[in-house]
Amino acid sequence: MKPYIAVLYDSFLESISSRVLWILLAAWLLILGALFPLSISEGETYLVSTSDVESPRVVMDQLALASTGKGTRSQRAIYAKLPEDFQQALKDRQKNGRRIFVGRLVSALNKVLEATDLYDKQAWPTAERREELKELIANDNKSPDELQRFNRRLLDLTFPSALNSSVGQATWITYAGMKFTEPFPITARQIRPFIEAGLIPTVLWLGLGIVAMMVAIVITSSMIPDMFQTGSLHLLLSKPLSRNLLYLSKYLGGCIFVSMNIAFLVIGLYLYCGIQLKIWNSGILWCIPLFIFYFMIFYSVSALSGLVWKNPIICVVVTALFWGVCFTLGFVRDLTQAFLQGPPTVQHIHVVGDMPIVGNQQGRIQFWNEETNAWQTGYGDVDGQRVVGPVYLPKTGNLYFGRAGFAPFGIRGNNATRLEMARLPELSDANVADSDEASSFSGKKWWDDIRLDSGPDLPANTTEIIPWQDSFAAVTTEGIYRFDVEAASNSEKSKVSLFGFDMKIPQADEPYKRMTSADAEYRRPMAFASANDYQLAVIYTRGKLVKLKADGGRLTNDGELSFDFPPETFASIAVQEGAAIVCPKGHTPLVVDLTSMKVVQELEAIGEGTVKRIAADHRGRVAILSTNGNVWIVSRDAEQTDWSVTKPNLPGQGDAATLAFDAKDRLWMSHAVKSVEIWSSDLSASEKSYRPRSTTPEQIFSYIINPLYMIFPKPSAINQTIQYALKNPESKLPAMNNADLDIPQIELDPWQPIWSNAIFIAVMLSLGCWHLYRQDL
Amino acid sequence: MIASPEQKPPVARGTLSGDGLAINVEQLSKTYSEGLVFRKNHPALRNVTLQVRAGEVFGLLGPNGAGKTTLIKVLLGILHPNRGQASVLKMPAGSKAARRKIGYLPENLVFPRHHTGRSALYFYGRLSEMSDSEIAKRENELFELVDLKGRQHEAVRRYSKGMRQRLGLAQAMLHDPDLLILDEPTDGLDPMGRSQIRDVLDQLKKRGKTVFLNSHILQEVELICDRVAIMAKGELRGIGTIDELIAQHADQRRGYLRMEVFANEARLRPFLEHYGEFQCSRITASPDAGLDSASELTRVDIRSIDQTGVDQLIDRLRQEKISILRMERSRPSLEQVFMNIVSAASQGGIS
Repeated sequence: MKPYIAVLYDSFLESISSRVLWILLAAWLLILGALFPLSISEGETYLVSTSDVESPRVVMDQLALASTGKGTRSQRAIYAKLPEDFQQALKDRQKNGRRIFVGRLVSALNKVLEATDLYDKQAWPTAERREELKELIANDNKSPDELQRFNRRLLDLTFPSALNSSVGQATWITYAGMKFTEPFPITARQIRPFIEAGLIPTVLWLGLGIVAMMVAIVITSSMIPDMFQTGSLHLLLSKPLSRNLLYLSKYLGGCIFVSMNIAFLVIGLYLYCGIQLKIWNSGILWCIPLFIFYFMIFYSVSALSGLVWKNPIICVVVTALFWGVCFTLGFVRDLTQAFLQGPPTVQHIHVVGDMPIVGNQQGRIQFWNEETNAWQTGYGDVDGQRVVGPVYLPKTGNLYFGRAGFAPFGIRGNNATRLEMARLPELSDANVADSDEASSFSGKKWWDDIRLDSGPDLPANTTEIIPWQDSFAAVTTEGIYRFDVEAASNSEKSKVSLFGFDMKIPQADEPYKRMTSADAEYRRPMAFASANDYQLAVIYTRGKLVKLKADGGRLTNDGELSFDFPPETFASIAVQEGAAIVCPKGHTPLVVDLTSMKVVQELEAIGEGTVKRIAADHRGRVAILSTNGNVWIVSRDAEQTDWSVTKPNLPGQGDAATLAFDAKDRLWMSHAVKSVEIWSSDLSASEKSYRPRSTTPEQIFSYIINPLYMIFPKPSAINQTIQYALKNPESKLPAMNNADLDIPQIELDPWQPIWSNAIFIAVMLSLGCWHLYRQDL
Repeated sequence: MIASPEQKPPVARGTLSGDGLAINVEQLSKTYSEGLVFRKNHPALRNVTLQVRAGEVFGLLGPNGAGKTTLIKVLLGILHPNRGQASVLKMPAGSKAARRKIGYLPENLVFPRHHTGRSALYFYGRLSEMSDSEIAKRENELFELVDLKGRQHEAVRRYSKGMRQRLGLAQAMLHDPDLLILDEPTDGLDPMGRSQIRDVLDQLKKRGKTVFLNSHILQEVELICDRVAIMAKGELRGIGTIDELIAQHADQRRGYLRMEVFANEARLRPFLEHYGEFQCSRITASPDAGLDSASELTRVDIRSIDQTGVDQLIDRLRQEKISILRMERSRPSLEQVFMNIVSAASQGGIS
């Protein structure tokens, strides 16, 4: 037998004869045993859950209306079945505006589901036309489950847009078969990505990456120093084995011990996920070598310390210090990056004349200040919100935008998005009729925080506002609304001031005019785009493309196309020259001919990425920005048949965050967090750059923290590889909101952490070998 | 003759050709350095030259810090010498090929705690590139040889020091090496154990193996070794057979004379004053001597007296009717030679 194999084999024997190993294995077994009864069970339920209520305000408004004997018959029928205390609460709300919590509404609606005589033919005249309800109406002896389903369907019919229709399936977390949570209104299939991408990596990282690693470092710390006991080492060195090989074998031998622990725990978790959660993800098994590798990083430091100081306590201290430094540096870097590169990132550009107005990820509207060479925040330092818009309307001289609470995966609070209107001083003179008022702006800058007015609330679930003819359109899941400037100004005038507070008097003249049909519902994920002449528009909703034709002030359905990809796939869309460019997340962008409503081309050059922004100009071009920062230009080729793709090699390419065409068809794009470039209309050069000067924290980040981070080993980056291994290509996290795509998408690179840390391990081991070579033992 | 730094070091006669040599060390020097900034140098070996013939049992003697273990480490390749050359079994010392043919028993051997006697033997056998079947063939014989038969399945952490030492010897012999380097092999052993080790070494010698042993126990070395070398302060101070070493010390040739006589010191003094340094002490005769217990018995030690002096002294004592109970002429022991050499070295002198 080769001597180094003998050392490895001996390490294995040493491991299995170690009491600590058996104690640890028993501990893991206990943990796994305790975890095993925890499961997810799927079942049928039609109960209303909090997340089913899309717009509680609308539901409560309608029920409150029913309490006064108004509203539809169905709403009144439901109101009649509500518990008395809730009825009273609705009346109080109507009278004094007293707030009702969503949870209370949900439990009241669930009480209604138990009512045996809710159905009334007059109240729900369309019910009999629906197959499912027809059967239930005919059934006189409904089981409690059937009754629940029946009543839920009636509720769904009553509040079609405010209440999400129940799919009838829900998921519970159970322990030993006992349900102890409220049901989640999603199927196990939907919950799987969250478990795979969120729960399992977190559990593995906390359990193995931190707790088990600390234990392993302490336990293995004595292995190398023990080898250096005089009576033991000299005998080993007298054998035909080089001292470097002895050291490396002993190092690998230390890893055997940890490998056994890791393998035991990971295989246990793999079996648990498979048997109990029905998630057979082989990526979990890949975590065994990955965690061993992760341990090897720390053990290389521990082994070197053991060589130099020959003391296990010093090994543990040095390794802990190394860990601490790596963690602190990574933490400081991530934190500063999150502050310096996340929130200030330009997410929206709107060009007014030659001036860019940007909305950043932080929710701030900013203007370019030539004097200070920096972005200047206007209209308040509102943080943590998502900017909707901005849109500038020359007609009013106002800049319109909304700020909404950040909503990951579309799970949002139900606070309405308020429209903000700001008069832009430097542009107002020419456009605003009231010249007296305009003159008061002289000398004011755009960002001066004056004249910021609150407009009428944007329609519920507004995802975006985009220019529409001489106004703007609000894109919502219930349809597309056109902002009526006249009606809005009437609404402004109907405000009265009472004790310093603005009170709004309800008025009949709604500022948002629905352009799509009243019964239309565009469920998430959805996106909207219009042609430059506003005669044609398309809506993408749940794997389906709906073509809309402008007919006066209305948009009427003019054809549909269903795609092959799953309905939860998010897509960005644009309309150009009678075609729609559809960019589904994770798929190749498609060109759909809007006359024939057929996919005519796949833009393979762009690849299967995720498209974050898409914009059409007036020259027949479409600019596509993928989440990895690449900008592609799609245009019809000379023969006007196929669409060709080009990738301009201009400053900012590969790092872009957003883009927009201006009136002169120049492409404005933001990159490097806060820089903005103007690419000429022929896309041959960059016409102008807005590069704000760095602030002191940014300089500290760029010149100190980041370089240090780059040269230091990054053991925690292995987490990225683990996440990649666990990522199941078949279960992507659904994007339900176009805001989700504004979250910087980190492309997981599984190999970079492996290479960088492998180099670090090699350096540490080489240092150990060199030290051993030159040392007199 | 004792070598001094200025003199050419002593070498074993007739072995300089290099033929039949198990170990050949020439002009070997090793200095340990300490400290990063203010470096201190401690010379451990100074121009050591020695040869060990194949098939002999060679003893290396010296007080603590003489450089014995350093020399062994150089032979095993654990230390790199600063100067000089060493070869083992005609191969460069420390080379893998040389180490394959060496069995080594270190001083204060520590076995990894997880081993039993048997698993430790297997571990070191595997390290010596032996297959498990080869080890299996040898294990019974070896455990029997070192008197560990029946105890080989016990954990080594429960072994006594003597048992560990015997196990260490077993692992050193396991791969049937041509050269055994034993550092204090009888350390921690009881008289029985020492006797066993001596037997083992005798057997090894009969099988033509070379044994290089390092020991503090001079009587043992005297019993076992064919040739010995004495080191002090990193230098080789003497080398040869024990007789040769004694012979090299001229002042030791005459030796002591010890007598037990029936007379008191006052009566003896006039006879003894001619013979230089002497010492008298009154003793009691043992009952089995068959003598009158009332008689005055004196032990006389004369440090240095030649044979003519002895003859004259006996004649004169007998003329005075002084009865001589016992007389012993002792040859200088290795210990005396050793002490002489070491004390001369510590005084910095040359004898």
